[in-house]
Amino acid sequence: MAEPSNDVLLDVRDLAVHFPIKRGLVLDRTVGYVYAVDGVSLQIRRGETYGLVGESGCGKSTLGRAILRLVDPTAGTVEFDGVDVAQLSGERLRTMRRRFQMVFQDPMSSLDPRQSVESLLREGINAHGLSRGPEADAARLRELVESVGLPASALRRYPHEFSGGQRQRIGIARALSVEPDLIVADEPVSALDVSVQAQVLNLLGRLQAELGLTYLVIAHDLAVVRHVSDRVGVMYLGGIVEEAPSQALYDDPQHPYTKALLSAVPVPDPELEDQRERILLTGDLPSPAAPPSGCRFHTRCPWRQPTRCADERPQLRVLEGVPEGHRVACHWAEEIRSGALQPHRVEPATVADDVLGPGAVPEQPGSVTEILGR
Amino acid sequence: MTTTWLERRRSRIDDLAGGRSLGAEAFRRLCREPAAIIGAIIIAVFVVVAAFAPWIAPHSATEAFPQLQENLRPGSIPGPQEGFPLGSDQLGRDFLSRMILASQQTLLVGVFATLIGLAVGVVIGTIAGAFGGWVDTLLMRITDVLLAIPSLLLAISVAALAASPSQTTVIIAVAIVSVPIFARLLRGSMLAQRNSDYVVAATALGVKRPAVVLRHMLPNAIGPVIVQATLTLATAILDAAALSFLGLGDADPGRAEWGLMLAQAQTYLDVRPALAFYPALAIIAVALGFTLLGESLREAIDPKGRR
Amino acid sequence: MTAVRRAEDPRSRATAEPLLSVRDLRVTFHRKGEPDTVAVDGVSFDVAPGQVVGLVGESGCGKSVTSMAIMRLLPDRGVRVSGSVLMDGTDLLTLPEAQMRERRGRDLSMVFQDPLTSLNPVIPVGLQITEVLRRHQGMGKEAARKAAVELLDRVGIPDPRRRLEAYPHQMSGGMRQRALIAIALACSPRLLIADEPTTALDVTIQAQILELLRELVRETGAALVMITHDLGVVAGLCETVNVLYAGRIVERAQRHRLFTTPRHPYTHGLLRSIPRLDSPQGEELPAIRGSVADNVPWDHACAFAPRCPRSLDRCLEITPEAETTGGRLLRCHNPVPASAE
Repeated sequence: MAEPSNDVLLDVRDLAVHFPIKRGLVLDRTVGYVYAVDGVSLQIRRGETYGLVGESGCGKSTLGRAILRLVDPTAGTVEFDGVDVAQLSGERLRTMRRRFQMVFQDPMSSLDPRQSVESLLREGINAHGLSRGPEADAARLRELVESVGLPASALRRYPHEFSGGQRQRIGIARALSVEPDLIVADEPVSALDVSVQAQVLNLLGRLQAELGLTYLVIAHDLAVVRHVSDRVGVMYLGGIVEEAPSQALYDDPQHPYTKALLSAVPVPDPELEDQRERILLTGDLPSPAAPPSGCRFHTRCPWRQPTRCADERPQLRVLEGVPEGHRVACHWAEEIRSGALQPHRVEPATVADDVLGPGAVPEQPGSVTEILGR
Repeated sequence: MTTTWLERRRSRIDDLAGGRSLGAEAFRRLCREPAAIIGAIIIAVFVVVAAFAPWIAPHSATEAFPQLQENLRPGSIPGPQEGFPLGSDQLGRDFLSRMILASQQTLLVGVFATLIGLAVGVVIGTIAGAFGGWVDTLLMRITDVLLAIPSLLLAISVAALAASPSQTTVIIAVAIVSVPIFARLLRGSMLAQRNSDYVVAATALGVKRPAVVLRHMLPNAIGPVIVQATLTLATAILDAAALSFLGLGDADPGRAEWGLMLAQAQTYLDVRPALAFYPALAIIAVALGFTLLGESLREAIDPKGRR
Repeated sequence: MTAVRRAEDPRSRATAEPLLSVRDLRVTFHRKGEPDTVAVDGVSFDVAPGQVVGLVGESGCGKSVTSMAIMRLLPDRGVRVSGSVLMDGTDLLTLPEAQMRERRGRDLSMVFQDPLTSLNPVIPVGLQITEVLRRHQGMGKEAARKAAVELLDRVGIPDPRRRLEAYPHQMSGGMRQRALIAIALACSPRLLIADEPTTALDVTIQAQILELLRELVRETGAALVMITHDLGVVAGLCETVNVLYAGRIVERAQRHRLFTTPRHPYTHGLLRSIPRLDSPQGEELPAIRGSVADNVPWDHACAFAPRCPRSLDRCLEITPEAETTGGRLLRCHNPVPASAE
């Protein structure tokens, strides 16, 4: 991978996205909030790939969309090349959109079934006045489809005539059509067949090298994220719990959640699988509508301590003796790392999990999508 | 060797395919469906007859023929005879000509009523679906009220409001009945579209809002509405006939219109039932044709299990 | 469990009659106006009592359809099933429906992929469990409830007594899947088929569920057929792995050998193209070209040939037969050499 520059392209500070939960027959009253993103700060340098990993309900997709202003942030700033995108609106926002684009998860639903590929690719070009005349445009379109590995004849076809992997390529071509600086890829390969995932990942890598793109890759698959990213951020329930250069994260995970996550990923290696020590988390993810107090992870943490964990929310910090750039949000990270603290068994929480109690705030565990019934 | 095989196969497919849109594929499916073909034939016959009625009908709708009139007696109306294949109606007019000319009225009323209802309903539905929020709530409550009233009653109420009943009244009444159906249908489709990835993608791309609504949301939402339009045509024809039957249409009793003819034939049911039978059959046949086509269209646009 | 069976003695397993014997299973779907689709094209495999067998493949390879065919859950219309599925000497495919119903739940049961759609949303979970118990074991209501509570507890659902009254939507994905497993194992069937049971779950929850399956299978001595596309899951769980492509088994081997020396080019390519936590970072992954749609029918060629980096002319002309050597089944004209890895 090319060495990323030191110049920061995206600077997110204290970003929060809270979705109101509305109930009511005639007038929708706000009865609570889903704290999908709750205080996230990160920086992405020009040319680098930042991987955001986490399970459902952690807010990574919401974070990606908030950065692109596809959902409105509740608080915080999103500085893209010096401009706070979170404050923009109207035409200024629309023209700014050209510089950051998204590749969506589901290749089946991310392309308008009624538009031909050509029309799809032209749209962005026209919306931003990038048209250079019919011949130049036609050449540009051909170049676009070829750069994603599709023949020029693909232009006159319709999305349903392509396979999932090919549709994902078209989605990438669409994102490239406006010549963006940043691409946010939201689960770019998780809906694809295993044998096709590598093709698309390779394509993304190649395009980055050729076009000098910056990527934010959001995925739940740790192996995928590690493979493509320079740096990785691990999210849990709306906040980043650990952030490190990708190899360092896998070699030296410091946050208990990261450790559990790494040990849970199945590896296609029977020897390894037989031998590895699994850290099994008990219980389910708490609901983002009712996050635990203090450290969000303390209810399931095998290293939880009686002090501080349930009261204070830990901030991301660098441990002593650890290279700059590896940050972890845990009160007891030093002790865990040195082995002074050992993991213990965690009883699944029965208190906060009121299945049958009446209540306006839904307490079901789940992702934003599940809770808001989208 | 298999690389070239793969490439050869790919290029062969490329050459063949010109790119078939979903619409084109739906059309092909439609053409294979027997119900659709039957429906289309019925409609085609109906449209041709209606379009060329003045030339097809042997006589006028209002001219009374002495040959027929002289055979009119209480209790007897002349049946089919030389020069008058369907015989006479109650006033000595050529029944066949009246039947043929009446198709024009029916077509006009049905088509116009549906088109007006469609246009208004689509506009309301698009606004409600695109804006959401209180605009949506307000518009939908109004349509809810309209939907709560049984369609025929609504049509009758609207038609009865008019100072002097006419075909225009009928058209407007039937149109108003169908507006809430289209509005609700389209609004539902639009709402479903709002969160689709490709709509979000268009916004992310920087496409302006009106363009997103009109180019992406509307074309994808319109499918069920088109299907509904064909079915509404069928009911519009029935409703219009009912209104005429009830005397809420154009008051001129000499007018040739199937609903009116059916109404007037009531008194002669025991004398010459054909006077009621043929208009009723015609109404049913046309409604059936549109219904068959509409249902097949619905199947063709969204058959289960296709992408 | 209502009746905890002792785990089978592993030594006796090898020589015992297979519990399930699938022979030449073929499933063809017929839709009006379209050519027939052969979803499963001659699949044969055995499952010994207490064994964990994996069926691995991507979308469209026929693994799910195979499991549905074994359970006789495919629709009657538009589907043709041939071959044989022997369990206890009876061919399940030829059984009258009433007799098959007896066996489902009691002798063999299934855990599905999406617990949200597999559980009845309008019936409390407890009732869905007791229903099975009362149907097959003739238990009274109270006894069934008690057994259901035990089952929920065994699958690791906290506060099981209260959960009996819960509806599926009140539970998380992981809990629902546990409930599904409880239903499947309620009558201690000897064979459990799990069709992508963890695909819809988060990684940490998946680890819990897989661990649960491992334990339960060990405890009850039931055999498990694990269907998945995730090679990592298979590596940790299954003893024997069948790799499916386009409706046929292309390779079958004991798991250690499959992963260390994959011999079929598809298996080999797949393993190399998956990003792994311990593989070198940042390099391009060697990908299999084309996609699953680029295949030819098995009846006169090898379906994988268009995508195969090792294909020969004969691969497009002659169907490769399945050959078994040293415990490994291989269907290939030009397999990866045994010493390559």
